[in-house]
Amino acid sequence: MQKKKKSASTIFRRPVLIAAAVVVLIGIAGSAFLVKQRSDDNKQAVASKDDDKVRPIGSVDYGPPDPHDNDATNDSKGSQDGPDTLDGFPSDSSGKPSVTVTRADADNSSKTLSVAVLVDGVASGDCTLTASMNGASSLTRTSSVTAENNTASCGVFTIPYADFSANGKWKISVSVTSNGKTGSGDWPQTIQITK
Amino acid sequence: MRVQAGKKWKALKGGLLIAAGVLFVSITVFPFHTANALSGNQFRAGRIIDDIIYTNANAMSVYDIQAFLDSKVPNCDTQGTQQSTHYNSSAGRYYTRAEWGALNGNHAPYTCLRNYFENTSNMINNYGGASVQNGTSAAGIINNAAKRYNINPQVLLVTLQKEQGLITDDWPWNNQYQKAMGYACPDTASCNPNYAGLYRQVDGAAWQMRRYLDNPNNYNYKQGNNNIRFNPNTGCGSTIVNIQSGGTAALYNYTPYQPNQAALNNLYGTGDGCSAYGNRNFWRYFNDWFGSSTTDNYTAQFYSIFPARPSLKASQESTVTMKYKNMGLFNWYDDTNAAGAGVKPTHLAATGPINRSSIFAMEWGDPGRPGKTFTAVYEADGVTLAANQHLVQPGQVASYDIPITVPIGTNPGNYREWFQVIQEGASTWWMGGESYIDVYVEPTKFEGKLYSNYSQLGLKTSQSFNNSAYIRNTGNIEWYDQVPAGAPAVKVTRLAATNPINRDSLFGSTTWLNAGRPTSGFTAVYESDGVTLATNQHMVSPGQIAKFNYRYTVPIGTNPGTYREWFQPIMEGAPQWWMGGEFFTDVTVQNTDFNSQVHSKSNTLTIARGNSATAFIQYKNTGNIEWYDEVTPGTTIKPTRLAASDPINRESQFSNGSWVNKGRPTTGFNKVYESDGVTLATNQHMVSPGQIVRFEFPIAVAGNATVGTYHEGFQPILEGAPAWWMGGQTDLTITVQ
Repeated sequence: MQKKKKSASTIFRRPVLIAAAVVVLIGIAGSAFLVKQRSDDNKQAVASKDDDKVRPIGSVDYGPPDPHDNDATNDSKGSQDGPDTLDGFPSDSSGKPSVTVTRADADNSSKTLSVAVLVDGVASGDCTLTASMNGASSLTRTSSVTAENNTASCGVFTIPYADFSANGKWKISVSVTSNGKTGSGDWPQTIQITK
Repeated sequence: MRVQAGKKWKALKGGLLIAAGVLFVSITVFPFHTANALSGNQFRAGRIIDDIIYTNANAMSVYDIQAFLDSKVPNCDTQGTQQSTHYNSSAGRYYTRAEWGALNGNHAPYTCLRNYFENTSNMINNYGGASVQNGTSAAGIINNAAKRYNINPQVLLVTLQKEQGLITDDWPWNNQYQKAMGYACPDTASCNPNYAGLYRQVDGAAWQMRRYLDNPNNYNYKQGNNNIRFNPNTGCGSTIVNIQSGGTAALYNYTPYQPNQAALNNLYGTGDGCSAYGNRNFWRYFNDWFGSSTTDNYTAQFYSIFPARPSLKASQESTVTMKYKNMGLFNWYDDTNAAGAGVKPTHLAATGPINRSSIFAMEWGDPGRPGKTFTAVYEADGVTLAANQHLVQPGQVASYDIPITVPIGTNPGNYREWFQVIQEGASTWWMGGESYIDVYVEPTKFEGKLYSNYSQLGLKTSQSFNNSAYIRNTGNIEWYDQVPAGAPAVKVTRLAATNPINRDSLFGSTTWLNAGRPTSGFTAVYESDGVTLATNQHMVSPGQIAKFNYRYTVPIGTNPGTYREWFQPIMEGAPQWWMGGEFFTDVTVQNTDFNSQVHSKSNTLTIARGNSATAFIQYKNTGNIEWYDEVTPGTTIKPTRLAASDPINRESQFSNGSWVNKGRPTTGFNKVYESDGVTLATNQHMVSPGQIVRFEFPIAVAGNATVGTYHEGFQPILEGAPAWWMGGQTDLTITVQ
């Protein structure tokens, strides 16, 4: 049987493959060189400061975009909602507010408690903060849902320690009622109040 | 089909060239840093961005921003001719972008961010090819907002990308511009139309970011422990996150979710139903495009350079000012106060590799450290001087003035000199801020050419002649006869005996610097006309003419003949001393004849024992050269003296205390007459040929001298010369009674 002739393109590709191999080898050698150079450079450095850095601070990538940078944008064009913010979320169809007590800062110098609340799913409604502790009478504060520029919130509740009926560890909860539907959230820890 | 070897080689060569090119580019662009891929496990929810980076308003200029926008959309698909990602099943192909856009009410042409302009007063913009008057580019809008609210423009750029993908979108729709920053677009409601459009979006968002920083207590998230959800869906949960910077708090106030592990595990893709991507993508884009969003204790960022590309000739010097911003968390101290603060000093170092010696370091003191003290310290704006000029607080800017001195002999070409800021002597010395100066060394021509000179001289031995050589500077750089202040690389230009260089000239004199250097400086410097004196008499600019005065003196004993004396200007002490301009003077040394003839003398002297009498002898100069009775400055001619002779240096018994010694009755000439023997010569210390000199001296007879007649021999001599003989030997007859 006659040996099958290699096609011209196959033969022609061989040098390209060799060149590609050379590219890889040079790349490896170059990388080794750079790593060694960097290693030599850092003879004094016990722990290089930028081991976990991708690019030096302040450097700018003027290279072309990553081919996938536009995937999400292109896919979203013409979708039902249109190209909304890429990090946005569809509204909760139930219409129930989603409430997050984002922080509860007990400031012992000013003797005040600050509580901030993030509201998702609604742009209006009533907020009720409740501070409770076993054996003590609860404290409540109210506010309205405020649509901020990017989010909605109950604003920041600022409560003097003096308004608490007793010292101790208080639990903070916030409920939001909007269009007859209520959602609530807690600060996941208790707050020590010492008047 | 057989592929020819030449083709193979061409293919292989092409591959090799590509390989070499890839390697070259990678080394050139990032000579020190190897880029690591960003990984989700590097994400820190409490420290997405440090404040010093978040507020680095000068991180990019408007030109940098425009260049960045250009780079991210190399080709804007203005007409939407490319294929979309949406399939047209009825046509059996994908829609073009123009088709898909039209279907959705967004007709081509599309205007990319790089090409976008908007009038910030009336919000009219050029989207879709509309005309706009007094428009500001997108880069300008971003830059202005960054500067106005002191927010890093890179933060704004990344926000534009994470919200609407506008940085990389090559066919953006108009509604993307309307909510470009996602500002005033709560997830729960429509966007506020009062903030629609690029300018309002960017300016409003930057304003909001600044408010988050300045009024942290008024917002949901601030530094400290915060409860941050992964998703609006409460079922996805939340964690307590210790937010460590105002910038990070601002990000959560802007986009109130943290990425969950699934989103981080697939950093460049999607996670799961509980994932949120806003802050993840912000962090990812920022780190990919602009370097780390967090800093270290000691971190420097290159700020500016001026001039960026000094162009110098050999021996010239230029001062380059380089500025570095303290992007770290700790203060920097220079040598002035580091020890007092108990920290290692911050230095500017030559690098690539570190501790290399720069060839331009002549004035640095240490060839690897151009800056050990700050030349100036500025506030973050890089202009306002800080109160303490030896301490750089985070955000402030240190300035170093670097004298760049090009040594003579440096080959022309471009030299890229790398620098970085370091903590001197610290184990963690690396502070970053790598930056470079491109020093262009111009071709330098030190060259001279003879303008005028006495090319032929005739001199007798012992004679001197003041010669002048005029050399024109035909090069392209100045000559100096003394090193000017602040230019240590300069080598002085001198006239040198040459052929070969540094030979000892036969005709050097005490006025020469040494036997190979007739002069030590310029006698004069003229403009190119050779007449007008130049303003600076110690510098010869190209075209000007240097005058060198020097004195030829023919030593006694020089053989008659013609001597060709070569000279040339040189750069004294430089390895590349050659300046051309060789020239010669033919010095013809004539036979020298020191000869005398007795003109007259005392008759027989009759002196009683114990008495003395005055004698004289007059000699006529019958030679061809002058006699002197003392050493004439600038010549090698020996003095002519009368000596007791027969034999020479004999001690005469008729000397007394007025003699120089018993063999030298006189010290000088008593009289010098013209040839008539009567008229006194003008110069009484020089006897020209034909003139007559008179020596007078006492003849003293000792008290115990023997009575009789004596013949005392005398003759003139060249005192101290090897060829002292001048003839004129005679004697005086003395009768002692």
